[in-house]
Amino acid sequence: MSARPSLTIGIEEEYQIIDPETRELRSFITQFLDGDKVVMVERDLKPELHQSMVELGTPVCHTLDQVKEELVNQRRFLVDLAEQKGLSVAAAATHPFSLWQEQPVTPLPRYQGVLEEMQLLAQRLLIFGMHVHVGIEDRAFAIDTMNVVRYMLPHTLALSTSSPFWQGRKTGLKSYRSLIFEDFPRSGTAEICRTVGDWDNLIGTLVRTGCIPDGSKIWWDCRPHHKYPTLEFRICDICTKVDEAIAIAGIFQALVLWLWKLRQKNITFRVYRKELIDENRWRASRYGIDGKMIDFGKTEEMPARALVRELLDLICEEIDELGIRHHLKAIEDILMHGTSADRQLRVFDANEGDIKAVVDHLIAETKQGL
Amino acid sequence: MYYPSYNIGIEEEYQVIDPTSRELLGYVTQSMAREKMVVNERTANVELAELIRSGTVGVGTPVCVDINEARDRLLGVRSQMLELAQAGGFHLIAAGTHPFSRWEGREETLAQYRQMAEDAQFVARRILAFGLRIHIGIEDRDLAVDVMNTLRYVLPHIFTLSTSSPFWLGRNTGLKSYRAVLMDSLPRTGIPGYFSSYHDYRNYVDTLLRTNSIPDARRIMYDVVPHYRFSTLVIRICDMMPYYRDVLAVTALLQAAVAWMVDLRQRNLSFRNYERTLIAENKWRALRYGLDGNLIDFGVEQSLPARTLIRELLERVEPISHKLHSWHELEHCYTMLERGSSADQQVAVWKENGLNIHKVVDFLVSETEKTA
Repeated sequence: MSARPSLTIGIEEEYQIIDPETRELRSFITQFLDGDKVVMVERDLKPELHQSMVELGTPVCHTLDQVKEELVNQRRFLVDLAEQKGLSVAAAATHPFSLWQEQPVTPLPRYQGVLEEMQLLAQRLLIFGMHVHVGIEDRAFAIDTMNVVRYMLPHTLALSTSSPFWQGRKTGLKSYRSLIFEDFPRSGTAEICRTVGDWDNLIGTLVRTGCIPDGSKIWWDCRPHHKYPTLEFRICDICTKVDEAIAIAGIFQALVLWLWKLRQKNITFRVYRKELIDENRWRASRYGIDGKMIDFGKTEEMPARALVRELLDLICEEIDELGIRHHLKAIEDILMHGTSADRQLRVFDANEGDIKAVVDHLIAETKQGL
Repeated sequence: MYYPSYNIGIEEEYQVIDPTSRELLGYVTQSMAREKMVVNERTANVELAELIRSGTVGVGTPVCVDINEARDRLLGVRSQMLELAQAGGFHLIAAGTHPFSRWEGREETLAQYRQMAEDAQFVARRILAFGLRIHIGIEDRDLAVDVMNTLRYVLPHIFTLSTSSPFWLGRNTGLKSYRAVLMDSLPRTGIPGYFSSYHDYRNYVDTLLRTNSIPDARRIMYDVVPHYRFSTLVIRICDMMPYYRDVLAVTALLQAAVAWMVDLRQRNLSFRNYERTLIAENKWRALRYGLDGNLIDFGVEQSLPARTLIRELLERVEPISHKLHSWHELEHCYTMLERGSSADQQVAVWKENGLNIHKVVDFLVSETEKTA
């Protein structure tokens, strides 16, 4: 019997830096760069390709309570730092109207490299995600989990949707980010890997043939991390409210525990073809929680909300075992009142199509609960 | 033993261009199922729509027994369309994207097109990306799926030759086929996964139908699929190509590659089936770098110049091509390797003319009008 995974948890978020006057994205990271080092800051501020994008990650935490404290501190730190420079922070997966064509690229060699390789596609990648790491020490179990957990990822994407706008227009989607990222190779729903050997072979072949330097360039919605003993969930839009991010991270943690317990009983969730999972992924991007998704066990369409509730029921015991039920209240709020995308669209309509009001709304919600 | 017909069907899409502004006015597309040209209903130009709808453009069944018949038919359709365009005072171009037009093609509307393709009752897959659809007749459906699996490997190589969409909204995208990026952002596109039998494939299609994910099987638009009605494999990975000889060469190459896969099978051999992830690496390199890049030979696990690997493919299908009486068209691929794909030509024209994008349109018009 393999040991229970540690289920440690860490969250990385990619934030937008905003000019509060124009509400446009604003270059920020270069103010802290000395050569290729970030200086004068007591945290590990990671520059990204676009200068207006900042990535921050929490330390490895043992409980959801702890990661919440860290995430709140991290957001507060960044908001303070930005405000010292007269800037604001927004957590949403796309900026409602800033144009990617006008965004300066961070002047570090590695980003010039990305730009050279990916060309216009890299410039368009002005999108902001949340990555949740859950500690799974046994690699075989991590791969096993990756295969089956793919099924639930569209459901969590639906809950996190926060990118209804692109370049100043309503896209008609709830998560436009998840479409933009799919233009990149090695992105989207993971392929089935039957064993650790399968995974190692795949990475080995790609590295040997010069496609990638290492596994960090596999940008699937869910992947074993190339360095840490974690499974990394990358499917979600960044959540605007910190409570939503924590609740979704809690779902991932409980899911892994549930799957581990099933495995002890010789049971596995069914592994479905990528083509089928992609149908639900598209529905999640398009409709968020307002649409229908497919229950492939029953081959029936069901309201997305009903399927999310069913998912929460499935992992009910594990939620209590981990003592995280109080954090999951935010999911109920989303199901009742909509996701960040729904709220942004409401603000847009209530302000007669004033898209700057959406930015103000995002800045305010990002600070909520800090 | 299997004896597929290897019949050929070519479906093209033409952009209709205003000769003064060089803007895109509309487009016409060919459909095997309807045996006529279909005018885009939302075409900005009523006069043009009338011309085509008046019925003079019945193109008949496009099924051809070999590449020679395909050549006659392709030239027939093209000259008919060119005459019509001339009568109406328009130009025609055959290419994967329009170099600069914003006509309903703004990037921001991509989502709406995707949504329309999902929600509408008919196929409204209109992002302004123009692809070539080639049908190769394989009557046995299980054999068709078997060939579909193995054929995936050589599709990036063949696609490389067809790349013709380096520009989008007036910008040099830095890619050789931006059309492929646009197309692959739609659902059920790109390199397909592996299917163990026709039954396996039908299961997939039926699940989508039962769950209201698609209204009919036409929505499945992977780079290669069995046609939902005809007993053909449809290959749609290629960009539209301006010069008709390029189209014939690529078609002949696809037909020969299909026949080669069947020939292996008849000898109890099979081309290896590689994971989609690996094949997708080659597709990415093909759309990014075209003929100038490297592709991966997964057999020897080496990254090699695309031209080398395409030459190797040409050598391997040459004997079969002779049996199919197609070598005189297929060998034009060697000329394409030396000359570069249309994308390479377009970028060169653009650079030679001080980055004047109108000159690229003019070049495409003259390439499309060539009949020799």
